[in-house]
Amino acid sequence: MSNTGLELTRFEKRVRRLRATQGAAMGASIGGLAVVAWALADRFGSAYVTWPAATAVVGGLTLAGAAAGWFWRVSPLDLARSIDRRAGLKNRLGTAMSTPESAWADAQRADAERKLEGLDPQTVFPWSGNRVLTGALCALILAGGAYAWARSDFGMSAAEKQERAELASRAEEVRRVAKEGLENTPRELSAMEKDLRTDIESFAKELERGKLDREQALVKANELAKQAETAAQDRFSAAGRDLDEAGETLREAQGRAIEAAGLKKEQVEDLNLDSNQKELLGRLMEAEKFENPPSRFNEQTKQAAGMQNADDRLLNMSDSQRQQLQQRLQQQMNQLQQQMQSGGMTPEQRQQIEQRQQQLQMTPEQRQALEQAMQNPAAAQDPAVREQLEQMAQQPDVSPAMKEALEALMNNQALQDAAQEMMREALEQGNLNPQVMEQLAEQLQQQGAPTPEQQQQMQQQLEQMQQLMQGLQNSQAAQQALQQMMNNPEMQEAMRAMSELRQAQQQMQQGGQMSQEQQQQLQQSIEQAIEGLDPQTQAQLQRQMQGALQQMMAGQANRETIQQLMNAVGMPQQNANGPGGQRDPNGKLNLRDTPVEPGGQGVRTGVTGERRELDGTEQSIEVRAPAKLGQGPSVPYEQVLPQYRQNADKAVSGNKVPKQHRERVKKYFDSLQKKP
Amino acid sequence: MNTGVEAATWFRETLGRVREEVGRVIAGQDDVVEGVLVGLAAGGHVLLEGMPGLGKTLLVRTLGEALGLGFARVQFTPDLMPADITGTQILQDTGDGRRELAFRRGPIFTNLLLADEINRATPKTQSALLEAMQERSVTVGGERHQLDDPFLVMATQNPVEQEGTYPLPEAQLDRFFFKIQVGFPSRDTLGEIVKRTTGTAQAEVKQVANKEDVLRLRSIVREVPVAEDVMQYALSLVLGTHPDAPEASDDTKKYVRYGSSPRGAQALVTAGKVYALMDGRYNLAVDDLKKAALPVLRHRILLNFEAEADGVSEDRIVKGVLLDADLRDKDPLRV
Repeated sequence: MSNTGLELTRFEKRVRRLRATQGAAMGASIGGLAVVAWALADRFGSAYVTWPAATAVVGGLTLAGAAAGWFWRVSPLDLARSIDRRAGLKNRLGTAMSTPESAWADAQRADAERKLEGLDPQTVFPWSGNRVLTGALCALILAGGAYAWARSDFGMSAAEKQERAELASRAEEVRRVAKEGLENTPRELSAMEKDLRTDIESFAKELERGKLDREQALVKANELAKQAETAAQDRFSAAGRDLDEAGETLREAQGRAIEAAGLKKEQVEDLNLDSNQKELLGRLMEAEKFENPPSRFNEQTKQAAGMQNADDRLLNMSDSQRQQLQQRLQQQMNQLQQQMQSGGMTPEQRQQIEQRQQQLQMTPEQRQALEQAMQNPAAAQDPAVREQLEQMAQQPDVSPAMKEALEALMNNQALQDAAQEMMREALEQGNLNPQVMEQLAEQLQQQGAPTPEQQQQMQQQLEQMQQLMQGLQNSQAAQQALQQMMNNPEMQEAMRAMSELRQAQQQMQQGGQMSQEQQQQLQQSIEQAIEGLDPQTQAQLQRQMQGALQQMMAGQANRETIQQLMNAVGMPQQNANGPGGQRDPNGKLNLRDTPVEPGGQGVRTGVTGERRELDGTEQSIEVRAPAKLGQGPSVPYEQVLPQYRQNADKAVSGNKVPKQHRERVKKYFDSLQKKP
Repeated sequence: MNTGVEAATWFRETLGRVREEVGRVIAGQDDVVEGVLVGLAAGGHVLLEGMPGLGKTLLVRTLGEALGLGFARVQFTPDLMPADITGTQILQDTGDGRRELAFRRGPIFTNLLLADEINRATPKTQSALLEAMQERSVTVGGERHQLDDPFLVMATQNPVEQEGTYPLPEAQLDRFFFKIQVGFPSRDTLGEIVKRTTGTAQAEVKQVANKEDVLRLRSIVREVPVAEDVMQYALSLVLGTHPDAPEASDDTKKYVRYGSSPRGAQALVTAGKVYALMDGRYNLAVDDLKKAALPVLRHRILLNFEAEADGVSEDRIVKGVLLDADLRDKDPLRV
């Protein structure tokens, strides 16, 4: 098939131009309608439209439509056929495009070309998109109108307009706060802070377009406050981790110093006594009539040296005391060792004697049979009872009296007094021959070695004594090392700075704030702390302490941001317990009982009565806050009272208020009504 | 100048000359004359339907004279026998005392055969034309006799007098390339006819072409290319006459019993090509098909009883089909 010889490019371009224009117009129409829908959704609160976004939608769809129109494929054959139809060429071009090469085809093509020469593309493909253009124009006008309508307060009451304006100004303030606190800040934001920034921005948008009423705004602000507090706590925890690392670094440095002072880590561990060792030490000191020595080293130094768990008595006792205690301890150890080694009986012999003792014991079945026979002599004739009694009588070591009594029982004769007495004694003592049992016990007492349990116990005692002895021996070196550390100013400075930082971190974690002066002071402390330390420790501590301080400042910045945000929405934070209001003793935000006023102090409302003591007992959150920052309520009191009164009456009469509170509600509204 | 251009030009000029020559005798009736010439160039037989005295016979005779072709006229009557047309075998002396059967040619052995009032003959006689029209030959006594080339049947029929007529069978109708309705002349034309035929001056017809020219005309027609979309249009027209085809119009579905045969599509395209050449073009156009549609399709459609009851004609059906085809034939580019 040949499609050469016909120059249709100019027609193709014309078609593409027309299609691009029409595509753009259609895109603009669709975009315009989308903006209309968007604006409607905005007006009714389910979306938010801004002019850049609306313009982007319309522009994007217009461009997309134009591109689609331009790049839409134009088939040469279709183009030829279309020109044939439009220019009345009676299928010349279409035939020329699809006729195989031949003399006749050449003539035909020449004829087609001749006809084509005089054709103007604009005449063949005239502009025919006026309807589309008009539609696009209408859609754009409609979109503009809808956007303006959505953004305007047309159709709103004066109060709604005022509230919207107020919310818009609040939104502006919220946005400013977010910008200052979370955007224009040199610190790197955490993921949580980025989320917070996004949420605040979204909150500002909702405020701006009036999608939240006052109460919802305050609740939302409280949620953001919680979020900010979590972010702040996150920062404080991170500061804590940095400080832990710094502490570890410091401890390592101190460990090196301790080792330099001649004390090894294992020796330090010997100073950590367990309760038995402490008790042993106490008994020794008591025996020597020593009192607990006064403390010579502070806790920081001990902690730095890793001796925070060491027994204070070991660290503080004098050399002479130590020597005396060591001597006494040595004596006790010797005695114990001798005791452990005494005794000539082998364990096998001992076991045989114990088995013999067990054999002499009366079994529970025998005891039961005997009791039955004593209570009812006729029961002795029972085969089971009789069997037990016979076994007892046949035991080799049973006493003769006992044997006689058993035989009398079995023969169903009248019991003799002696036999009865004998049996009673046997029952009370639990054995069949008390004399033999006593002999065996005596033999064990006099000749037997300690039992395995006693042996083990004595071994433990000996070990404890040995450890205590180690502690006593190491205590002198520990005292010297601690003394050296007490005399090292650099280490002391570092410990002091660590302590200050730790204290500040803990305070902030509990809701405290750090002033500018405190920040500077901590900064100086850090700088002073690392002076004089070895370079490696210096660099690590600098990084870790500075990191902790930065985290604390970031946490505080989060709190300040949310403080400003709360101010912006008319819900100032009045104390240092964290944003969003007061906190309960557990640190939880208390949204219910936080009546606030612009002055920053909580106020008493007219409601008196029981507080809700438990979280989660109510179905809604009661937020009490001033209507405006620094102002009174925006709606006059007299205007709202009747409506409120009516609603309250409805609630009372509809059993929505608990019985015990109904009278209180009535009294409250009565009291309000009297005031005007 | 290439061969295609030359051939097309010669075609147009030749046919123009013939038409001019015929026009010297026949006043008006342009469409009829054009239709007959298209049939001639396309090699198709033409059925002329019209009232007596409208110059049908004169037209065919004039055409024969202008082309220098043999001409024969057969007046069809109910007692006309097939042998009267095709010829018969007669007993003939051989001169040596013996006799033999010899074939005597009938009037069909000519180039232009005018079958006047063809519907007056019995179907048996009408059918005698079937072989001749399609095969260009006749078989008599078991012997096949080839007809001259070109061979063209121009039949006429009177649509009014139904008594004593035998409507042409469908098979025979289908063999007619064109069915042309000869209408009554206009006032001016009628005046011209009267003037020409009642005066002393008689127009003399000159031969402007010959047998070979006619054959060449037919070969040139076959050269005209057909674009695919044009071909599809032609097929749509033919299929549109079939009540059970998707292309069928509402009228077709309601009134048509049988649609056009494939010969209809062949005739449509061939006639279109002739129209295109006469228009000075080298290609077949949709317009050519539209022009050929009525004469090609009207006699190939068999209407049902409902159509007869409602007075619906074949022409109306064809026009409906054309309308539908036009509606379906959309611009391939949406701009």
